[in-house]
Amino acid sequence: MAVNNLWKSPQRAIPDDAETMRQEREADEALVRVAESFDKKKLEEELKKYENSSSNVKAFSILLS
Amino acid sequence: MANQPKPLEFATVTDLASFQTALGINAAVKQTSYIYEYLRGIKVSTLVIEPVYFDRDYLHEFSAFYSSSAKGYNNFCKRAHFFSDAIDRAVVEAAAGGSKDAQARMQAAYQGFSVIRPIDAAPFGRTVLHWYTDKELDFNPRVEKPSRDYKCHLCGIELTVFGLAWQQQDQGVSACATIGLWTTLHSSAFNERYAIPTTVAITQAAHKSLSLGARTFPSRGLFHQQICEAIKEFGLAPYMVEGDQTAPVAGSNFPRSFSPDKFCNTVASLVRSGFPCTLVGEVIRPGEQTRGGHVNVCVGFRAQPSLQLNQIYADGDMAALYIHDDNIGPAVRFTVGHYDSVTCAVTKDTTKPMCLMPDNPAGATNIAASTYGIFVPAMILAAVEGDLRTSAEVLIQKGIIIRAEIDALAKADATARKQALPSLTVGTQYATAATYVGDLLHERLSNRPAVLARVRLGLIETVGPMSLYVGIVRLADANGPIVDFLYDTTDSDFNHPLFVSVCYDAVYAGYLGVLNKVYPGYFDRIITAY
Repeated sequence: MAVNNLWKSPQRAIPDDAETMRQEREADEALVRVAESFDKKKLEEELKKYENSSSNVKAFSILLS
Repeated sequence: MANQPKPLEFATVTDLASFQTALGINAAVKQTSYIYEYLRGIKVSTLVIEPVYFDRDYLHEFSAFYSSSAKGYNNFCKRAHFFSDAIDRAVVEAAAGGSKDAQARMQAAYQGFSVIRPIDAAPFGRTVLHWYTDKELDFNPRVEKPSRDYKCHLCGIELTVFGLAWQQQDQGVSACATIGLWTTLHSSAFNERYAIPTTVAITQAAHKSLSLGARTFPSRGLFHQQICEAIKEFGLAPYMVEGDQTAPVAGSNFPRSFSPDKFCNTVASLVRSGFPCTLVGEVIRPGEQTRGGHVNVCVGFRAQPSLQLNQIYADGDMAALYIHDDNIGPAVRFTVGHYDSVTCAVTKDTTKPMCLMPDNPAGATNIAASTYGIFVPAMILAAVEGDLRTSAEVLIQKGIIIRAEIDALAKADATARKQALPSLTVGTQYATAATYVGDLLHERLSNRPAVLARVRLGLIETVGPMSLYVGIVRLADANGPIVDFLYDTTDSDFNHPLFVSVCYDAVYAGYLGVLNKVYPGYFDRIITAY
């Protein structure tokens, strides 16, 4: 398992050939094809959990005591 | 008879009985045991008590309700200050006389205060206690963002404690819903612009436009719609999130429940932003199958320390939540679990509905938490500033989509290069633009001053004026944060514009360039932070 470091401060290491990889990627048509054919349908179940319900104050009433 | 002056009282606390005696609290008040254990945990040994103290909240309660009770309640309270050092009258005299050493000694030992009301069944008024020791500070610290500094004055000595106020419900002017909202509105998010209302003001505001035929006082509780109306009365906006599980749960009065990852992700997103989460749900007492509507407030949490492979949300689970529950006490440690909705017993079966369980500290005889049962959340409610118009749910949706798109590119690229596949996680929070440019960027780039300066100037000079609050979607892989996407929070959820992408990694900056070819103009504003 990986450490949960999303909100932590250690500085990210940069690969030595990052600049080369970046230049290569600018002309990388294969990745553009991946992005263009990206299938959002697979996300639908995950996105459904976060359907915006924040404005829906529901009609049922339960006394909170 | 007019109120009579009394000298300060000094008490040494050695056990629960001496604690109750010093405060003049009835032994039947169940919250006392938890608070005593809490204070024992933070090494409190001495109480300094102001025996005649006017408390703003209680004076309003007295005015609205207790002044016309036949019992003849006093209009003053006691205020007890807690110290983890032997603070006696000599020390207080020296500090009051201006001794810096004595003042420093008192501040170093100061662990908070509690207003003790002259209400036998509900003596604990406004109580602010210092957070107990964070044993995982170095590698997985608690998130305590909603807490703030409280300043007290004792004999001219200023004492400061960092925490968030808690109190018991008295069922005269307040039940759990009013208390929950009162704690929420004490939060650091609202310090500079809004006044903190009293419990009386909150209950009255809840009934102002939506009384539903119920008496205002004595208050037996509020409906969740009344909580939302009260928030609006104080100039803030109610933000409510319902559970994602639509299948009915046996015995529940709420139509929806939460999956653990939606609950944890949403709470983390809001609490990390400084917004306490008012949790609306049901309590199931031990050995019973009846449920009672209840409200408590999540004021902190500890993230899960490590992630599963390909875990989507960095905050999809939590090691612990810290909840102000008026039935127990402040900052009660709860853990996420599951329960059998037919037997109402806790179960290890993770397919069953989720619940929250109070977690007794080892060795504590914490009666209140032991008899509490379990809490089943059905809604999360926050009070946010009106400027913050977009919802956390849409922000999380943006994060899900962006993560999936970049994940597809990164995995395709790694496969082509015969490298290990990356595992990306996403998290969200809100921050003021000033906090992002200031504290959050400093956390990331403090050891690279030239890059930090370039990024800060780039945000100010090339992005254009940003909204007061920005929505932050952060992506990370095993090496740490990759990119922050900063969203405008002053538009609609439908538009939800992206201000800028701050990219910490050259490789992923390349992926954003690819995405910008597919969605022209969406990712064209990138600031490189490497």
